[in-house]
Amino acid sequence: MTTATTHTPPMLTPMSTLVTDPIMQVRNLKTYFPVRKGILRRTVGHVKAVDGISFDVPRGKTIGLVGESGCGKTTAARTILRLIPPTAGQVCFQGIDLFRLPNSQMRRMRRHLQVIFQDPVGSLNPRMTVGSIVSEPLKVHGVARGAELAERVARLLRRVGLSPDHVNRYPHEFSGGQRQRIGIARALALEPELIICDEPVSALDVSIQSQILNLLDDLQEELGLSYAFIAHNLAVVEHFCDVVAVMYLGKIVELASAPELYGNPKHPYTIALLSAAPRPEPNRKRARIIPGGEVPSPISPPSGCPYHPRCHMAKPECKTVVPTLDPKQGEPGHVAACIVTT
Amino acid sequence: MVEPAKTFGSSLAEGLDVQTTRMRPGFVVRFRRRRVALLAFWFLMVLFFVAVATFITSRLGIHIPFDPDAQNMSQRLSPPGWPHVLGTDQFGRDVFARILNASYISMFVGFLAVAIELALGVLVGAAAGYFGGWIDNVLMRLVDALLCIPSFLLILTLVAIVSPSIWVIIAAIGVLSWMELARLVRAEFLTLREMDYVAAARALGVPAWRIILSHLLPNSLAPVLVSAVLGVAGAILTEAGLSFLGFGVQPPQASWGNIITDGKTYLLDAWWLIIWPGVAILLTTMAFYLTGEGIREVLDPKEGKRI
Amino acid sequence: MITYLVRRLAISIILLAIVSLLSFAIIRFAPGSKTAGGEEMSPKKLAAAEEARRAKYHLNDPWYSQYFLVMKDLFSNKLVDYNDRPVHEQIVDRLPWTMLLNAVSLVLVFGMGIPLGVAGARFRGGWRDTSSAVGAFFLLSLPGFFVSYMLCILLVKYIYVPILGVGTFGMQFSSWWQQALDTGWHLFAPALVLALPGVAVQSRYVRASLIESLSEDYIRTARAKGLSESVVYYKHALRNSLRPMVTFFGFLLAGMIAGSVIVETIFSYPGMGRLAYEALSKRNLPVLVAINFYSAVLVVMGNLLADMLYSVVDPRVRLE
Repeated sequence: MTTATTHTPPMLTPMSTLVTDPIMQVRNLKTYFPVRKGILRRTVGHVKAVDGISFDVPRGKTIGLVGESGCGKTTAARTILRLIPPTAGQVCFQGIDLFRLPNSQMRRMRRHLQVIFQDPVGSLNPRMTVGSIVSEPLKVHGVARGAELAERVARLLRRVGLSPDHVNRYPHEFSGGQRQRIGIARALALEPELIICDEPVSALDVSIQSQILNLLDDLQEELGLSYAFIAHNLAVVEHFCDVVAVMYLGKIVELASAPELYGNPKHPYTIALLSAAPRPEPNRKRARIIPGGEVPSPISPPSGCPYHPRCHMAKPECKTVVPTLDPKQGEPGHVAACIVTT
Repeated sequence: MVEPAKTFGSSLAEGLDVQTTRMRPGFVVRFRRRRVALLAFWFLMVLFFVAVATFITSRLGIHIPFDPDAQNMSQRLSPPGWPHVLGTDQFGRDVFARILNASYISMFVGFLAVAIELALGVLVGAAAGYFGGWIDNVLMRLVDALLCIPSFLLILTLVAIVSPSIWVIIAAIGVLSWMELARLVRAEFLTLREMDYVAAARALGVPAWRIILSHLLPNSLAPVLVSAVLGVAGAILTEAGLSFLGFGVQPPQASWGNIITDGKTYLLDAWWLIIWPGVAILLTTMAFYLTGEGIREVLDPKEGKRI
Repeated sequence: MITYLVRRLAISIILLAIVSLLSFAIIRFAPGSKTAGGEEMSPKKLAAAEEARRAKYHLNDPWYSQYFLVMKDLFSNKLVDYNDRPVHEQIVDRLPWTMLLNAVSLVLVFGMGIPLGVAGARFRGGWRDTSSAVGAFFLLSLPGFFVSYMLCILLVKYIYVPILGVGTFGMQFSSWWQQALDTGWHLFAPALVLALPGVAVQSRYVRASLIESLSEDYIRTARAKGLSESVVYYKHALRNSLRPMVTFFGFLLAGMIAGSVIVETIFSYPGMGRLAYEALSKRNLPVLVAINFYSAVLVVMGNLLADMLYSVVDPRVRLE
């Protein structure tokens, strides 16, 4: 499936040796929301929800985007999908700049680029049957109709582990895990190459989480899917992702392959997150690092390194110097935005 | 009423299965439990039937029980009794026949005016709520401005200037009372637009018109339906008020409002000229209000107090 | 706060301009005869009269400047109706009476609506609640003119309450307090009719907001302190209902003239509603233009006042 001749070559040069065959490239993506005040509703500032992030999505593999709630990961996902207008940046999907496509072509493009949402209740229309939810994309894009449509819907439902007899039921008749399966079936309907998973398991019970992750894993293997997987929990991402990007206040602060990031974290924020995650060796004593204070407002981010007010390793220069994503010791391609660690 | 979901079942039972394993009993079942609302609903059904039947028979020249326009001076102002069960007016016309004959006028005005209201309100509200931005701004400022005009006064002015005919009344009521509905639909759309299933539909490439029709409208139907039912009551009351002031349905066509106007001269001598049409208006509007309230409570997820 | 007020005032004025222009345009452009039905005149006299009329109402100007000229005339007391009576004077004559009527009716609305709503919330689910709900819809469905006549029959036949006008003939020679009492006596019937739908709406609002606040912790605390149920309801829970009361006050102010048309007509009450009815019957368009304009002023004022009162009754509301 992933032979070099079957797809258009990427338009942009890959960021590093970390991802050699990207299916999608995000460059300097920015999403700002205006803040208005006063009699004339003048724009007095911006919420910099996503502030210049760049990453490559590996073909047939998974990239994880991790960060606290409010760090802009969901906004980034929605901007990439053009559900929110971008402020700046480029998203190249198989060599095509999505932000430059006219709406009509973008609509066709959506077949290749799908999304699974966090909330299994809110992401399914309560007044549509499972059958019509899953068949809607097929109908809209004129892929199938009549008996073929029914056949495809049945196959999709079976594929995600639901019974085809469920087509006439409504979402409220299902459990959270089953609903998420319906959402996955809907995303799969158009046979996309890339699926953006926006915290697909965060709202589920732990026992159900692994079932859904296993299903996603199987589907990737079987269909050669690429995932951009968003999570707020590093533990979930560890075994599921090949590459991990850690986000803080709208920026990527560290990017590395999953084993490297977990074994050799370089950014103090990543270190703090990892120290907070539960580990399977309860006897080992670890120093738990808790980031001090609150996440600062993205309207007026701190000067210098945005993490410095909460950082346990901060030095005086951190207040003034804005760190860039620099290569760090360890695996090639491992980058982190910190002037303290090496 | 919560039944456990069936996990087994032959293919034969599947058809039934779908119907019976809902978590909540269906709308109809829950509505039926509200006795007052149900009573009001059936009253409306009967009234509706009577109105249609009267309309058809009167067009065919069949008058039950009497011709509403037939004057009989020897029988003038006779109190309720036999054969004039609700009495006669100053021209000896049968009050019951006139009230029946006015029923379809009221229904007609109520439903048609609300149809105009619905069309305008849903269209404007949907456009403002879905597209947002400057479209929303322009439409909502228009709504604000129109809401500033006291509608009864303006309807009255309009009807009085143009000419008091049933079509002008319907148009005036419909065109000047859709604003609340537009606000309602807009508010619903603003909330629903942020739902993930709408984002999902957009991500799937579903066109805007289809998102509005199949995702947003069905989910905002409940408050729209309630508001429409209450709107019929409001329109009927407005028509009665206009007719009473003499700017509504013109005699000899009977309307509940103008029967009262005709009767007010005989206020102290012939109470039946005022009571019966008044009761007709009262019962009809109340039935619409109670039905609407019943629907609202049934659709309310929190299910408030039943009436 | 100041910013908010300036902004709101500016919006109100713009809104008022649009609204008055709109209602002016409707009256101006609606099909139908625009002249008053007068006595028969010879063609020559008719032409001269027509010419004078055109000049008086600026009909020779384009419609937009006509609007401004009419408004200017209205405020400078130059606009006269078809009987040559200054319109502004008539309105100044009538408006206080309508305000008085609505003030009395407002007292009745709160006086009856609040206890009814409290009863509904207190005995919710019981027969008292159900009957208060059905009763509310009953009042809401009662056409004002029907109640008025029922009241007339009742009052005239059984109780002596005057139903027409605002004063008994011959009373003008009595002392001022006797006259005031007499007027109050006359106000009773129309104010009651005007208040009934309001009572219904108010009782439902009060009930709903009470039920909402009854599950709050501060109510449980109040009960835990051993306060009596009446004190809990009227002193603690009812604060939450101040908001719907303010809303209602705004509505009442906004709909004052339109709401009074039927009642004032029936009871021969010398207010704005009756003025509107008289003008409508005689197609006295200058008066109608003026009444529609003043109604719009009231609506804009009602909205503004209600929004400002919200911040008074609910400290959480910030005017921004």
